Amino acid sequence: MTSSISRDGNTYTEAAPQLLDSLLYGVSHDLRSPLLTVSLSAQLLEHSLAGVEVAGAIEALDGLRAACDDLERMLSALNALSRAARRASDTIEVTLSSLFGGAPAVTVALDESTAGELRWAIPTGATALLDGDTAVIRWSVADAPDSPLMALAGSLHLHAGGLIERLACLQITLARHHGSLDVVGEQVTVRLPVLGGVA
Amino acid sequence: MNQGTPVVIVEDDDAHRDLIAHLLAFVAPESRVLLLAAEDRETIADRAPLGALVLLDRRLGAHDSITLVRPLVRHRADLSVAIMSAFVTPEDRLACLAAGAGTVFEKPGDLNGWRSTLLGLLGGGGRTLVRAA
Repeated sequence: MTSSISRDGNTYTEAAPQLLDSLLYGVSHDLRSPLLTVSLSAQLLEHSLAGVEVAGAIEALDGLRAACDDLERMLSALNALSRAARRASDTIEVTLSSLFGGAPAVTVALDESTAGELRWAIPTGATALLDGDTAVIRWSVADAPDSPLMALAGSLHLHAGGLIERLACLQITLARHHGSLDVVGEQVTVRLPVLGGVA
Repeated sequence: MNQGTPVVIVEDDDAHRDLIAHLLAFVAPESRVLLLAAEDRETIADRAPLGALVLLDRRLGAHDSITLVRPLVRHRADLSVAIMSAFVTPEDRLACLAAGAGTVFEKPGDLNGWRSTLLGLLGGGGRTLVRAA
């Protein structure tokens, strides 16, 4: 792999994650202003045209609205990824059983938001076991791609706003808590280090 | 603050700045409005009318406008600063308030949202932009 030297002396490869993070943050914020301008202008136009029949106006406004909704959904996904990467991680101790019923009586370290996302993502019927000092939680998701993050990066249009986006964000936040989320053959596996060993 | 309070809109997106001014003129027609672009950011304290509400976009080009707030409110205690941003996280909100902003809000995506936001900032009933669906 070749590396170039940036102005602050870091190699490109060292700076790449930071650049990517800045790009995600910048793009999600910068593009929303013109999007809001288009959306609000369309609403003003609709308001101005109320009761006036103009050929094609309804179809044009419907098209604008649909496009704005689609862009909003995709920009929100980029913002969610950026937030997952930047979120201040004030960790708290969370019992595994508070994430889903039937889990072993162990404690893990997570931030409130990630714990909330896990509670949302883990369905009834998930299983958990202990592998040394690691809690391993598994559940099945139909049609889940092997890497939600890669899938989302591959097609925002297809995956923004849905389960894959939320799993992709969990991939980022769990890694920051020394855990992981993998999907293989439609089976989701979450690994989290257990605090203080196994009770 | 009331609907006659002067308003300074500091926003790097020209079209969005004009649109906010248009909505403001509709909601609070008595309000005097000053429009500033990203490159005017260092002149806010010199140019803002007395007692103005400053609607300050969080991102002004590549600049994070949060750094402008503390010196601005220190120099011009008569101003009220409201930071607006495309997306606002709880962490963003805390950081902006800690910097001295009076309030922080996410830019609304619809006319009624803007109406409520502007009236919430200025106070009062104002005019209706659009009928609720």
